[in-house]
Amino acid sequence: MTAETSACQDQDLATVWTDPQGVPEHLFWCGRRFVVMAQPIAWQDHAIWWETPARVARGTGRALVERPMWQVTARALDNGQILIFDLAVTAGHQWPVTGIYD
Amino acid sequence: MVRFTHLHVSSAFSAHYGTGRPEVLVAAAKAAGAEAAAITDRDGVYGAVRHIRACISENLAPIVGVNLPLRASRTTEQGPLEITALAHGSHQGAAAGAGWAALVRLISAAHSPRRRGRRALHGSAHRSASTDPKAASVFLSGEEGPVATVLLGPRSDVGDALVSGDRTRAEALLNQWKKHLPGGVVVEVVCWNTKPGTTASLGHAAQLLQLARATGTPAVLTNAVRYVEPDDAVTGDVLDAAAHLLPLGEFQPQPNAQAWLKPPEAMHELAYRIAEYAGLGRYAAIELLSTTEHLAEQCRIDPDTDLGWRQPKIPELEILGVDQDPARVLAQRCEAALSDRYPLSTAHQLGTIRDRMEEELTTISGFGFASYFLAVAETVDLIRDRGVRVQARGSGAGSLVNYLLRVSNVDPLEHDLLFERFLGNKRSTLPDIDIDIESARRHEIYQAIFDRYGHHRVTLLSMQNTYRARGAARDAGLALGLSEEQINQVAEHIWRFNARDFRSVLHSKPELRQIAELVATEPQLDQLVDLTERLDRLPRHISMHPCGVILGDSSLLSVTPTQPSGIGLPMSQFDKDDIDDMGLLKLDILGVRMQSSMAYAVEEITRVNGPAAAAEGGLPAEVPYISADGRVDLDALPHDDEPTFEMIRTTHTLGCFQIESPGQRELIGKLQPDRYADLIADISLFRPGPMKGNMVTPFVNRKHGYERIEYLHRQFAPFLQDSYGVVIYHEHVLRILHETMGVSLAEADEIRRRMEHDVDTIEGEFRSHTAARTDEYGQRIFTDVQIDRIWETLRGFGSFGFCKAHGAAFALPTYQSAWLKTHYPVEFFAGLLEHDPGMYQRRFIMAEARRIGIPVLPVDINASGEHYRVERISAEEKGIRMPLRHIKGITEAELTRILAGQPYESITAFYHQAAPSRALMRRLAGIGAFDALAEHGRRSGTRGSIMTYAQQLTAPSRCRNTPAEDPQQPVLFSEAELMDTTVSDPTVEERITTELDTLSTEVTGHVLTPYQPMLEHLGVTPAEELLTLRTNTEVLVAGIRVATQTPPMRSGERTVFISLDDGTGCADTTFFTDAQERTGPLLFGTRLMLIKGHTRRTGHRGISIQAEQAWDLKQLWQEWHRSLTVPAA
Repeated sequence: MTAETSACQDQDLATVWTDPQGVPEHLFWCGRRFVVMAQPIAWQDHAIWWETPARVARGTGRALVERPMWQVTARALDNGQILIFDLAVTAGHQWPVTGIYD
Repeated sequence: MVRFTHLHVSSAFSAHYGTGRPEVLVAAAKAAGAEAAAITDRDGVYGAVRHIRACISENLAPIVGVNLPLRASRTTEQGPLEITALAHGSHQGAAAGAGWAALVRLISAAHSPRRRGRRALHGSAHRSASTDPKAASVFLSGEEGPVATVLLGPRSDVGDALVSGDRTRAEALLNQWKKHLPGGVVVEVVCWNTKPGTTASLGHAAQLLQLARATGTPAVLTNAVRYVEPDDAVTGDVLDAAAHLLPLGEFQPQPNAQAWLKPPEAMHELAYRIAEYAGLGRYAAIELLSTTEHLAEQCRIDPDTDLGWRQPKIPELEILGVDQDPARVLAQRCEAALSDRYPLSTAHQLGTIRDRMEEELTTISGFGFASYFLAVAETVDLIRDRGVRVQARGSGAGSLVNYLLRVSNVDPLEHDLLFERFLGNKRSTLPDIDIDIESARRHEIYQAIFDRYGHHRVTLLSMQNTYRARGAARDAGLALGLSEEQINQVAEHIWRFNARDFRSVLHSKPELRQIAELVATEPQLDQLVDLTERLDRLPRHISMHPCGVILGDSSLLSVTPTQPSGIGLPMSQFDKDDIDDMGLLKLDILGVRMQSSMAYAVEEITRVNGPAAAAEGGLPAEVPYISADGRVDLDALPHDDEPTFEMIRTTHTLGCFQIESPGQRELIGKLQPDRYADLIADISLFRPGPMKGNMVTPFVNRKHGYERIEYLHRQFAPFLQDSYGVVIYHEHVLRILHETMGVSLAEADEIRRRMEHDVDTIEGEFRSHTAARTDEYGQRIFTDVQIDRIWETLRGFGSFGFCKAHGAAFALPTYQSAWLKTHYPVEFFAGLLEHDPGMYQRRFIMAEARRIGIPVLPVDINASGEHYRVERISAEEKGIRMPLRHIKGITEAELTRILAGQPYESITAFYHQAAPSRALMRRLAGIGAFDALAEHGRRSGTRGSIMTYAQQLTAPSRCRNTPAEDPQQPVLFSEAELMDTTVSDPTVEERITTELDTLSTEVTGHVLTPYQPMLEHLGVTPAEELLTLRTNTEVLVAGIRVATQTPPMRSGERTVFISLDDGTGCADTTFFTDAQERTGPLLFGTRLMLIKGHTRRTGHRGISIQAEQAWDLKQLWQEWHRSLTVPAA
């Protein structure tokens, strides 16, 4: 992570609000509020399924291998800083942040 | 319905990459509404013929291409950079077959070894084929423009430059490709929704599309497919691990599970998303999709015009030396051979023979197969001219023409074999003529065939090795990062089941009991089971087929790509299932070790016995099949040698071709053959069908007079004589149908083939035709009762029968090897040990040699050579000298030096002249190779002192206390005097252990010798005494496992046969379900065993043991020892 995050306690998680289609609209990260600027990009990451104890029977493959992600470009409401976040889609609002770029 | 043609599809034939079989991919494309389907496997067209076949049956247009790595490109974490090339079809104006030929030659060139040797890298992730723009230009440019299209995708050099942010370089590279292949280059846009900024991300796809538009290059959309459904991505992960030879997590995995055969709607949506992201309008997406379809049109292959689908491509006549009608040449050759093959026949007999010959010739030339027969004959001549044993196998032995051409040495008239079983009236593809030759000279013969027909007309056939349960479990274990020990623990207990059934057999097979328990508690093993199932039958790698040679015309190298085979000759990318459709002729030239063993034995007979050979073999001096100088002509042996049958009837047939397995020995014991026809029957009966159909019992009962011989109908008696009236052979069925239905033998064979598939459809036809048959007085020949009986027999016969010609061809080496074992056992065993032909390990063959009284002479540094050799010990006795070749760790160079320096005068001289490694020196001393050198003189060195001396000689110099370091130095003391005779000799146990370790066989005693005290204490019965016991006697037997078999049984239940060798013979045991349950993991995993059970007589000379329980002998030994040392309370 390249952004200034030194003051942040829990930089691996963000609180994310989405539109009804599940596309992120704004987020709360390290005590700061961000608004998504451009159209976020949906992408799929590779999940580390072999480190989980789950069966890998036929028919369960896709859910095991893929991890849906969004890459969003967002502007901080406090100082206008623009950051790019990789967010792992998760049930609820607490989403893991897997990458931040400025 | 929207349409989309996937142009870039890897099938499972992209080994360790693709997961979908071509048939499944084609069916999925069809279901998605496609009109064409492509296959673009990695590095070749391994799956192309299957793909085309599937397309023909689904009525889709086939498209074929290849994915090749780029030469001298950088290797990314995902492997080398690569391109895909698609062959154009002929219907678009291109010359017929030009696209295919170009693709084929591009692939062959990509596989041809580079001039500068490259570092050999492990794992299939390191692909050895490669190409470049220049090669594409050379091979893919036609006279009127390109005949194939190169796709430059995200993983091409162009795509790689873009993802690295070097757009200028990307454009330059693209322009270079276009310069090399004007009009033959397209940009391949792929979006796998990977992480933004990486290969095949949305942004990367957009960049490729933008570059195409900026440079005026056509762009197509593909999904670079590697599986049918996203679920297969897990399988893909495991294959990637196998390709890298690394566990998951230790290499960059595939980005996600997007590379599947997405439906047209999803692909169209992708096109719109990419165009939008690229800032281009909808029109750009529509253009991208239509260019894709346009290219698909251009690449549709027409199997008939482009490939010559199923059109024979056999060597040109002039190559065969035939300058007139091949049918006439064939007839002349056969006619000329008549008197040679049948020298004693009367004119009348010759007339009958000639009639049969002419009938066969008419059929052969009717099909236009004369030149094929001439080519086979030419090839067999070429083999025989080199002094290599050669023998036809299979139904080809039913042909008199083959016998006359000396392709086969089985006389079809002697055994009543039918040509129609081999070549009927309806055959459209070339019949198989399979040929067995000496295995040791197989490569020499292949080379000779290449030289004879020209390297542009011949290639070797390949075969696809696919995942079976054990290999699948191993690779799944590797992927999961399990330890070698854990993997072995699972793999060792896997015994003949399909990988896909792993979970379902976990609880039904006793040997898997422990594994099942582990699976229940350890999630990783639970995953291992799922992954093993997923790998089932996927191709792993390609290798040289064990016997196939493809013979074609001069266009062969434009029909099949070739790649190195490992023996210096090119190998086709097609396997045996592809050959017929490609119209190629396959010669099956199988290297058979038994043929090498017999050839070796014959050489040894001549070398050791010379003119005394006949007498040594207990034969009259003037027998016609042994020359004056002692050369035995095995193919000229009479087939009624009583001593040979006598030996066979003892069931001591270890080492004999086809009749040495425990099951066969049991059958031989029951059947007690006393004529050649019995051997044919024995071999034919020992198959799953006849065993299940219980054809054995009536045969044995009738042969021994326990049951009356009946022939179903008096008209059948002449041709059912050979089997005492039991219907065993296809030939019997043909003759019965011929007699009953009044059809020709060729028609009868067609009916027989239909019966194999669905017997009941024949019944009405059979009954009406047979009932209508009348004799000259108008009386019915077959009554209704007879028809009922005949039909019941035919119905029961089903698919159980066996082609008698196969049996007759197999029986020949069976008889010949049994004859050698009977008359020349020492020479025969030397041949067996030299070429290791059978199902048993060499150590057991050696134990058998010792058992029948053949001295096995230990390795001797002067007497031993490279090979097992017969050595005369005295005027009466011969032995077999162990060779140097099988000493553990000996190198080629050491062997060469040792042989060059023989004979040696002393151990020291040997050490200095032959310069063996330290380990080899010590091993030689340990197995007694120097014993003879230390024997002369007053003081003979003992084995212990020799071993100590060898240690001193080879010790690092500062510890050396022997004066013999410098060979130039005058010798003051004889070697024997330098040896410390106070060193004790190794015990017999120690010697046997050393021998087993060094030679993989014991020489001094038997591996069981050390256990004797315990075996006697327990009252274990030696194998040789079993025959003296009554049936149902409780016994204990012990020994080293020499065979484990699970043949198909009548009951359908699995039965495990384990044979133990204890030095006195072989104890054959049978484990039924209960005993398997009690034995559990010992069933397949233990080498030294003690088995308790009851004897069961299986005939005059047969006895086996129905096992109840088994123990690990080594474990038992430790416990027994412990019990001895613990004082009784």
